[in-house]
Amino acid sequence: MAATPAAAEAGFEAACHAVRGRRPALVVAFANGAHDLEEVARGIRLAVPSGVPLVGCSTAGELAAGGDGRRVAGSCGLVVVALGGDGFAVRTGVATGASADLRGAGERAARAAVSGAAGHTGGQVVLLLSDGLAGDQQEVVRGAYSVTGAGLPLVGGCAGDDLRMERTTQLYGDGHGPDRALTDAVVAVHLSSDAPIGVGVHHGWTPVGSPVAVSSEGTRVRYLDGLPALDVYLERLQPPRAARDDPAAFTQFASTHPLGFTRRSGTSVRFVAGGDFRRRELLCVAHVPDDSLAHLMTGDRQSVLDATEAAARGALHQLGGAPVSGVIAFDCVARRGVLGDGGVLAEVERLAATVAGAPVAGFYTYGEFARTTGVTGFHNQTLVVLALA
Amino acid sequence: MAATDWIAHQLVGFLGELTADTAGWPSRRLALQRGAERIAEALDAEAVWVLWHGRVVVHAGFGSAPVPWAQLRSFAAPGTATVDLPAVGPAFALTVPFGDADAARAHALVLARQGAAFDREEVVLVRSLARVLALTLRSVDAVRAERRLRQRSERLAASALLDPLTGLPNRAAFLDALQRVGAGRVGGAVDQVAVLFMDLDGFKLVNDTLGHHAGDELLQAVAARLAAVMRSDALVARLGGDEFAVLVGPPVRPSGAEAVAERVRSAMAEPFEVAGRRVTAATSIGIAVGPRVGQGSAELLADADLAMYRAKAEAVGRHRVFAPWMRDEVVARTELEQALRASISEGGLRCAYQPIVELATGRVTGLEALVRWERPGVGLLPPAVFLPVAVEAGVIGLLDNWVLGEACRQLAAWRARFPAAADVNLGVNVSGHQLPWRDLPAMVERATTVHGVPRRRLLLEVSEEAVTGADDDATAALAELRRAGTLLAIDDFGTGYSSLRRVLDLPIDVLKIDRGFVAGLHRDTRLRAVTTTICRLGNDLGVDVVAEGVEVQGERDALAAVGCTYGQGYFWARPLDAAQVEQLFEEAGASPVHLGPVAALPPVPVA
Repeated sequence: MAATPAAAEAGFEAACHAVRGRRPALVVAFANGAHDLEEVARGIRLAVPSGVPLVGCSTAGELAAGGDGRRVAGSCGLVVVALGGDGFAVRTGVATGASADLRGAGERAARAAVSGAAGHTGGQVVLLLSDGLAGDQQEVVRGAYSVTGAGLPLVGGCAGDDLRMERTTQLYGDGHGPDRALTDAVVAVHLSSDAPIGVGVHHGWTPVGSPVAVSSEGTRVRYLDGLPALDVYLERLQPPRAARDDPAAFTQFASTHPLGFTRRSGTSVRFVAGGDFRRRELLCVAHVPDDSLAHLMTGDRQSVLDATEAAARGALHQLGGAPVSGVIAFDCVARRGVLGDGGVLAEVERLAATVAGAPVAGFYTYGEFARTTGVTGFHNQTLVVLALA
Repeated sequence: MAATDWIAHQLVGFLGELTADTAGWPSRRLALQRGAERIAEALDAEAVWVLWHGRVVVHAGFGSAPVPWAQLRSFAAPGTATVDLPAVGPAFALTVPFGDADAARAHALVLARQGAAFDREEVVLVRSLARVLALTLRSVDAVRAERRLRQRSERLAASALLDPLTGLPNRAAFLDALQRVGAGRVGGAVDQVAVLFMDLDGFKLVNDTLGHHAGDELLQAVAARLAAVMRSDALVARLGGDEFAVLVGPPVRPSGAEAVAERVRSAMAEPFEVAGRRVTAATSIGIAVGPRVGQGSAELLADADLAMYRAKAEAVGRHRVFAPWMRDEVVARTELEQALRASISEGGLRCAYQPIVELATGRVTGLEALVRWERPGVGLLPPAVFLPVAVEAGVIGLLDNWVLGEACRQLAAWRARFPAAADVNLGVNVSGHQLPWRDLPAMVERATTVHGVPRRRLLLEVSEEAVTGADDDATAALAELRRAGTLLAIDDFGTGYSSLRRVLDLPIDVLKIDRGFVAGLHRDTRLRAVTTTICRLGNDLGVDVVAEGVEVQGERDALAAVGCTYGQGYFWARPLDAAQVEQLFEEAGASPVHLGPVAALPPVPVA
């Protein structure tokens, strides 16, 4: 595992550290969008034998903690993780042109990954990497679920581009064909292991006051309780003066005040990324269900850090006492905003401590996937932790 | 969170998602699948089936594992049960019937969930959701329509003060601001404001030629440029269409307002880049400074509007400051318009008839019906005064219809009483402006049938301008009229700029040469040459040529010499009232009416 600043050489160097001469079952790369991911893949491939699948995506930041005590968090360039060992099997799938039919893309990618996959006695999971700018990602979950069914957990995240909101990249190579840097794609990986696999999810936000009725169009929240959404949001939450007319200050404030949609098993969170001050609307990154009820939520640095620990503990708990060999974290970019540069290091430190020094790799996402029970599995402002025993 | 809260959220969310998603439901089966999935999501259930007429049409939650058909049958009865699902393990199942199928081959929704049994509230919730799904399937269209309506009304409420296209304040917001200025004054010491009312002279052209998108683009560009040249305390608003307004001050002096107007005009004089082209949009501006004592905000805006119309009437791209006489002028015009409307419906109009004469013999071959308006309290008004008003007020169609009916009635009456009326044609004018071409054949049919006038006796006179700019509707209407036997004439030929050839290609029977080619014909060789050509071509093509405005013997003789067959004008007769026409018919007895020079007739006091 390694993090370094430039494309092909960076890929090569990071992959060497991650692989350390062994033959992995899967290599995963999370890279800053400024890198040419195809170049990164070319570098990685120099250190990774053909036949080994390579997947990954562009990010809104990366995080890693090595067994050697190295900690990185932020826009640091590139994180490469190699998974492998006895009793570990991997199959992959990909679907392009996702935005035209997100559900179909989730279904196709998952079907390719799941078909013919070996049934292992321990854990199984399907890892999804998707284009977060392509539309309502719950549709990806629905599509994948129609293939995986209740027996398989889903986990993963949406690729980012450092909050430029222009274009994200998904990296896909099955080990036999070329490694391709795609956009508007869904990548699926079926992981199965003789050892248990755990998935933990936590967000740490708490509702404020009574719920509001939401009218939305895609990612725009137009009205709350029938009134311009921005005004109701400001009225209810009473932010500091600057956030009332300065878009940057507002975005900062909104990063700790998401919308929460009540589900039976808890609250599903949607990140408020900004405000349209002319049209008086709230701008979200993820699809917001129209005609729904939502709570305005609040939290702070402390609650975000507490959630980090809760998610990690949740994942470990499912390992049933088996020692953890590594974790992959899918951490919402909005949580990064709340924590700040110092905070994200504290978060990585806390993750590493919770998993008792096992290697941690992950990225800051535009939305997280985690389906363990029930059918829903798309999240915002949430930390999803995948733990492998 | 209380259970009832949670249930409310699921119900609301489900309804919202269902109505939002129906656009992607091409089939009932897909609708059932999506709806059932949403219910499973709401209940955190791992698996869901839908039985439709007793057959499983939807199953979700098993992935590639086989569906446990045998088990499914065993717990498909309504209620809760525990099941052991392949690849999932032990689970709690809930079955609710829905829809209106008979009991034997029921519709049912089956959910399976691990970890927690379905409690009473959840059972109720699932029943409700299933019912909503069944209803939605039945009325997807109605639900969609309702949703669109609601969204529209919400948008309207939110956009009450903002113009969505340009982002500028709208008329309501502008009047609001104006109102506040008025309310702010203390003890009679009034700080004056200026209202600039402007409209774009080229807007309609851009809209018509480059399309609505280009028009919208132009409006946005104008809005941006207006906002850029104003001081930050001036309020710029879009009132609607291509109308904008600016509120300057307080305080402001009239000269200051004119300076602002000048700035706006010069800013607008630069071409705009719209739809990849450079277009110009000159601006006419009206200025009103106020408020005067007792003047409301809407009145101040109306004054500026009047001044703008005045500016536009004078020349494109001007500005004018409001003066009270402008309002008087408009009031007078409005009164005229109202009186005209009243007269059309209440019988205040009448027709005069001017004979058309065969040059060679003096025989009267036709009468042109001309409308006259006796305005109550004012007296007889010439058509030149009230026809433009009728056009602008949009009542010209009504007016034409009245003349057509009245003239037909009159001709029918004359034909019944006087043998001399038998071969006389009746000319009726239909206006070029706003002519409802599509309706014209039916209008003519009605008038001739009701009064029993033969179609061959009716000559519809249409202006050159109206037919040469004719669209498909007009061409079709003319062709239909002619097929039905109505005669068609081009009126006032020569006043437009169309070529003779093109006019003679139209399906017409008569060409009426404008008086401009007739006056002084006998002394002007150039005019004679033109008229000769018209008459020769007309005769060659079988189109009768009528010269209008013949006043003296010399003109009549010259026309006869160049081959013109018919004439009309004061030389023979001014427009006559009905009684005078009757006198002519009576005197003629069984033979046709013949007219000599007007000296043979008593002077006629009709305008």
